[in-house]
Amino acid sequence: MIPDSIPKALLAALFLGLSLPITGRHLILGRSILLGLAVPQISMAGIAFLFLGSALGWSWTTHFADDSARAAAGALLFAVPTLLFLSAIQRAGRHLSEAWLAVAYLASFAAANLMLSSNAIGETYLSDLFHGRLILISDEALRLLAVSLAITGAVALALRRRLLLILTDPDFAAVARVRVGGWVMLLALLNGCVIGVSVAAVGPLVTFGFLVLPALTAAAFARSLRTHLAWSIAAGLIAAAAGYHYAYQWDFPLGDCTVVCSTVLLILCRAGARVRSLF
Amino acid sequence: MGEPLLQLRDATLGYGRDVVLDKLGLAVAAGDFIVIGGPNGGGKTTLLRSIAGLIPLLAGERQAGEVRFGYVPQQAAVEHALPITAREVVECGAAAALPFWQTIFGGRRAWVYECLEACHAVEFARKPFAQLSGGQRQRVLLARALALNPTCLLLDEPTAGVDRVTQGALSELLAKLNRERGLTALLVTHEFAPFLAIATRLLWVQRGTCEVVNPERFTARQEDWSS
Repeated sequence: MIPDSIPKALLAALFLGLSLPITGRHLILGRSILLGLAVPQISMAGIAFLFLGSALGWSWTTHFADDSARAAAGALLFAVPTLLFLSAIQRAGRHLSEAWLAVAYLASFAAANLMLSSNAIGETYLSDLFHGRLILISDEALRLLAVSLAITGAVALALRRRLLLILTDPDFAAVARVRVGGWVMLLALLNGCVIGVSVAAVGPLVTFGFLVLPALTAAAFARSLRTHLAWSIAAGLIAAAAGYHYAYQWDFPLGDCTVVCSTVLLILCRAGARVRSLF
Repeated sequence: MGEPLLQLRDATLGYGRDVVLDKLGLAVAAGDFIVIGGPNGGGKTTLLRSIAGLIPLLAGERQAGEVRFGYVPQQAAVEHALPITAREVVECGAAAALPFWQTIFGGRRAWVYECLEACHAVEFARKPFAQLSGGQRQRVLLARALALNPTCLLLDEPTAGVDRVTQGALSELLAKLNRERGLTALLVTHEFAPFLAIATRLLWVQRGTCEVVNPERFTARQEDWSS
């Protein structure tokens, strides 16, 4: 018998497969893949922070309808300002080193664990998120995820020409009198919202997996940005469907299974492209 | 010379506290074709980027009025992490010339092809930019700059990594754009020979100074430096 939550889990995975590759390609074009790893973890610290606040009775953290809404607020509270701050640093001409991103990743990981060390509910919630909370996604979380991803995805697609220029050659854009600073901030806002909402709904593993793996998969054989976008989305959807299928068939955790399927797809496509290039 | 198109007065160029060029005066008239030479690290690119407004002046004044710049960066600065075709590179440039709401639905395809055509780059418009030769990439980057409908082109080492035949073809193309469209151009290069015939002025940038030199002196300095 199929539990009620499985169709919701599949829907969530498909939404993520459809939308996160768009954000993922922003990260890859901006040569900031590690941001895709660090910011989800920082979002987790935000979620832990709100659970801590709730446990300590901070009034502003107790007004959320349920845990998923609290998690979304916490993730956005940390993800969006972090990305805006990092973008401002880069815009000021400073190099964003991998070392500092690694430090941010480690610090937020430890902080999240510490904040929940005496909060059993929050600890369980975050533990579920670490494994990819797809199977447990609530109606509210799914609705929030769908609406947020639809809005941010539509904006990113509508503004793609300007955003691609900002990402690939900001100097050219500045010479063309495009307000690069404003566009960089808009991009950070979009990426922060997508990552924050996704992490709150399904955790950092699934979020990072859908951000990066489909876009890398499509890069194996796409010849243009247009086809790359189409293939990225297709790879995301295939990974979502395959992950759901094998998780159900073999009783695997859905989040982990989806990421593994996406990785296998990446390896197969890269190998296929390699073989094709030999002939 | 009539009213200058753009002008630097008593300009100090550099980064933070590091002065690269000091007390610089430069006036560029419409239709000028200025070739900038000098040793590595002498400040050629800093001069070009300061003129473009990418680097704020440390002191002095920059007057660029209503100049529309078209910028052709060094090839190494245009490495894409994902596949992008030559046409898409130019489309991005064309989109930059429009208010963003006009870029949502249209990519100005006809204009993009017109720019590619002007640079003899239509035949490889659909090829991935990463798979193009150095000369083809330069044509695409030039087409992207033209997509801004500029009055002044700024070119940073357009002949770097390009064979002599292609260097000649590029210089012919730039000469044609300068002649037929009246495009002003400032060009930084180590390969000065292809441009000597079309240059209206030669600038030598070295050790914090920038001076106008004649072709013989320019050639001699370039040869001294190269050897």
